[in-house]
Formats: sequence, structure tokens, C-alpha cells
Amino acid sequence: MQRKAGTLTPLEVTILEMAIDLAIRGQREFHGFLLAKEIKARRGALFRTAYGPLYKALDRMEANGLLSSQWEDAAVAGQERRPRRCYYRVTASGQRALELAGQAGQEPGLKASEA
Amino acid sequence: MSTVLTRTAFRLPVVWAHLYTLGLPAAEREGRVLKVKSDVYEQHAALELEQPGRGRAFVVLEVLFCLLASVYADLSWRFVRGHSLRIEAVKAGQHLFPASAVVPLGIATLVAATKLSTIHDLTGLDHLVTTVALVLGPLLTMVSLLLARATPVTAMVGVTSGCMLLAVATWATIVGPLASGVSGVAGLLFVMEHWQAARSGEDGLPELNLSRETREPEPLDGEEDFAMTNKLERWLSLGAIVWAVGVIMVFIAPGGQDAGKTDEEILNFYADVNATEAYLGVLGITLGGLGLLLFFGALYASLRRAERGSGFLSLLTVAGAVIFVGFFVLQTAFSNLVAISLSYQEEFKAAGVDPQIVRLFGNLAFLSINIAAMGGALAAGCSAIVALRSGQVLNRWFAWSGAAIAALLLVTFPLFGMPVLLFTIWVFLLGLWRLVRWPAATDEATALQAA
Repeated sequence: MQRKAGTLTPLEVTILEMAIDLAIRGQREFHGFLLAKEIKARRGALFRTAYGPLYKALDRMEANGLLSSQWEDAAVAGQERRPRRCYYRVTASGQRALELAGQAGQEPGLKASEA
Repeated sequence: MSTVLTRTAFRLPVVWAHLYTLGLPAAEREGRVLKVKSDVYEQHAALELEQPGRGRAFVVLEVLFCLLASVYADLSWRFVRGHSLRIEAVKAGQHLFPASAVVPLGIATLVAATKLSTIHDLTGLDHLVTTVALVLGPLLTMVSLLLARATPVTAMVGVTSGCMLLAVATWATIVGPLASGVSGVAGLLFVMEHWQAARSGEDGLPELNLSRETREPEPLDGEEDFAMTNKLERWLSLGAIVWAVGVIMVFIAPGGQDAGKTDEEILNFYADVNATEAYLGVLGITLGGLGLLLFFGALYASLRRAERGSGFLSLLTVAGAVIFVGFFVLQTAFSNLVAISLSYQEEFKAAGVDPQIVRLFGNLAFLSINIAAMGGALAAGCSAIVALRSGQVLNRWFAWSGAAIAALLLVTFPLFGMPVLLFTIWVFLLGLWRLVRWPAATDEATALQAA
């Protein structure tokens, strides 16, 4: 989807909203699957959001300074015998961008493919 | 559903991640693959826990659905990353020869050499054209691989080598030149991409910092995506030139015979017809048709931005182009089918040419070219209307001439097909104009975007 100047795509708005929602519930960091699961639950969709559009949006948002990411400590993942997670966190710029999007009347997107 | 199948389904996204990240720097590649691996693992664990009632079939279905829904986004992400890396590499003076290219290039050379050694029944121009096609394809690929970095090459070389392998496997005369053609187009694309990347570097594009830790936040304006879209639109204009070449190849082909010809004239014509030229004509217009569709796809993007609203006229432009290409290819096929069948089908040759069949195909070809003209009228007319209403995409000369040609195409029948030729010339010149004058067009588009 072609982004208009100074605006967020619907998926980016959704990601920021989800991330802030998770932070309010005490989870300041999130990984890809958790985000996909939350989006699915919120939309009441049959299938979860595909990883391709999700990662593309996350990468772009990180590049734009809306999110920051950090790899999980290998020892923690090793203890739980699972692959390491990449945790994302909303930055101050991300919060500000969401506020601006809200003021501009942007609605959260319904289709992940629009990212 | 068996556990093995479930496990296999869950491995597919990881395998796909390994594939589309081929050629990226190791750290970046590992990062993406690890993210996919982690998320797939979490998904597997969560679905087993949370939705036991749904069964494994649902789990597998969801994984496959998500995989399919990811393909486009993954490839476009890969394309943008590859482009950035190429600019980096060119600016750093790296001209790498990827080791992975040795095998496909070896196969390409082998196919070319084998085909050349087996050509003994072709003479004169046919021999020359086939030889040039067979040699030029692998040669261009080799040159481009020497110039370009391996990042996007991996995928395209895969396609080329696949064609080459097919050529070896089928040992068919038809596939050989086609494989070389694909190889040649891939080669040309990479040479141009490299040139473009080099030019971007010289023009002093902003430095691309690939390090995550030190990357500065960029303005949220979608500039990168928009720039990539513009570049694609510009270079896809080459499709118009490919189309013009395809049309020239149709003129070289013998074609069919008019329904008004006598039996004797028809039989005399087919007694000495060149089937290779007929085949090359059909092949040329098919590839040219693909080029024209790419061109109109890019034109659609520009028209869509200029038209705004529902984009109805832009969509009609593409629909017209599809009709035009489809029926033009059919026309060429109908015209040359008898000549090709005479050469490649022993049963047809043994039965001899039936003048009535020739007339039937002649009429079908005539009907097809007239339907194609209607599609062309739609494409030229709608694009002209959008351009005239918006004052963008085409300059007024192209817009008015497009409108005039659209009107002429509606009366192709009494004008002996000349409007179709005019439409081809218009498309060719428009393609050249969009290639050469692109900076101005980009400024317009950017201004529109900002507005």
C-alpha cells in the first residue's frame, strides 16, 4: 500500500495500538507471534496475520524510529528449549506518531495485506 | 492428519525464509530466519494448547494460508533490501562474482554449445538469428553477473538455469532459443540495474546505514517505498520497446493467406514456407506481449495516481491492453499455425495443406486483429482521457495523439490494420519518452503525492 506523506499505514496504527495496549496490561515488550495473536483476537479473524506483512511493517517502523528491538538472552531461550525471541518496544516517537494519527482521524486497518 | 505432515507444514515458513533471504548479509539473514523460526515455534505450541478441538488440519491450513499471504510482502521486502545492498556494494567498489553462478552459467554455456553443434538444417538469416540468440543470452548473463552483485541475481539465475535445464531435458528446438532469450533478458536487466545503482551512488544518494544499532530514525514519509515504485515504473517502460521488437518479428514471419486467394496461390505459398520464421514470429509477439503488459502495468500505476477516485478509467486502460495483447497474439498464432504445423507435425504434412483450413485460419486471424484493435482503442483512449483531465502522466502531444489513434482503432477494418501499427508506434514512443523524461514525470508524481 502506498503511504501518504506523514501518515501511518493501517497495519502500523494497529501495531502501535496493540503495543500500547499490551504495555498498559504490563507487557512492555512483545514479539512477532504475540503481536499476531493479539491482532487476530482483536479482529476476531479466523487466521492470524501473516508474518510477511507483519515483519515488513515492523522493520519499517523500526527504521523510522517508532519501535526499537532487542534479541532475547540466549540463555533464557536455552533454558526453555525454544528459539530466541526478538522483542519490540514502542518508542516515544511511536507514541507520538499514534497520537498524530488519531488526531488526523486515521482508523486502525483491517487488512494486514495493506501494509 | 499425521504428525509428519504437521511438522512439514511448520517447517515450510522456515524453508521459505531461508530461500528469500539468500544473498543477504549473514547477520541480517540469520536474524530474519530466527524470527520466523521463533514465531513458528510459538505458533505451534500455542495452537496445540489453545485450540486442541480444531485439530491438526486447521493448524496446517492456517500455517499454509499465512505462508501464501506472506509471499508478496517477503519478496518486496527482499527486493528493497537487495537494491539498497547493491548500491552499497557498488559504492564500495565491490564487483563480485558469486560462486553460486558458476553452475547455471556452466549449464547455459553447455546448452548453447550443444544447440550450436546440432544446428545443421538452418541456413542464412535463420542460422544467424538463432546463433546470436543462443550465444547472446548466456553471454549477457555472464557479463551482468560479473558486474552486478549476487543479491538479486540468485532468484533470477534460478529462473534462467531452470529454463536451461528444461532445454537440456526436453532437447526441444523450441525451448532452446526461449531459454537463451530469458537468459538474455535477465542479463540485460541486471546490467541496467547495476548501471542504475552506480548512477545512484554517483549522484550522492543518502548513505545507507545497514547497522541497526547506529541507524538514525528516518522521517516518516514513505520516501523509500515511493522511490522504488517510481524506478520500477520507469524501467518497465522498456516493455514498450520489447513489444515493438515483437511486432517487427511478426513482420518477418510468413503469416497466413487471405481468404480471397485461389487454391493454387495458397498451395504455392505453403510449398516453400519458412517454419522457423513463423515460429520466431509467434515467440516474438508472445514475449513482446508480456513486455506490453508490463508497460501498461506501470502506466496504470501512474494513471491511477493522477486519476484518483475510483480509478475506473485507469483500470479500463489495463483491461484494454490485456484484450489487445491476447487477441494480437492469437492473430499471429492463427496466421502462422499452418506453416508451423507443416514443419513440426508429420501427420499434417503427410495429409497436405487444405486451402479451406487456410482460409478458416485467415478469417480467424482477421477477426482477432479487429477485436485486438478494440482493446487497443480502450487502452489508448482511457489513458488519453486521464492524462488530459489531470494534466499529468502524458504530455498533451501524447494524450491527443493517443485519443486520435483510439478513434482510428475503432475503424481498423476499413483501414487495413494500419491503426494497429500506429498504436504500436505510439506505445513505442511513449515508452521511450517515459524512460528518457522520467525525472520530470517523477517530480509531477511527487508533487501529487505531497498534495
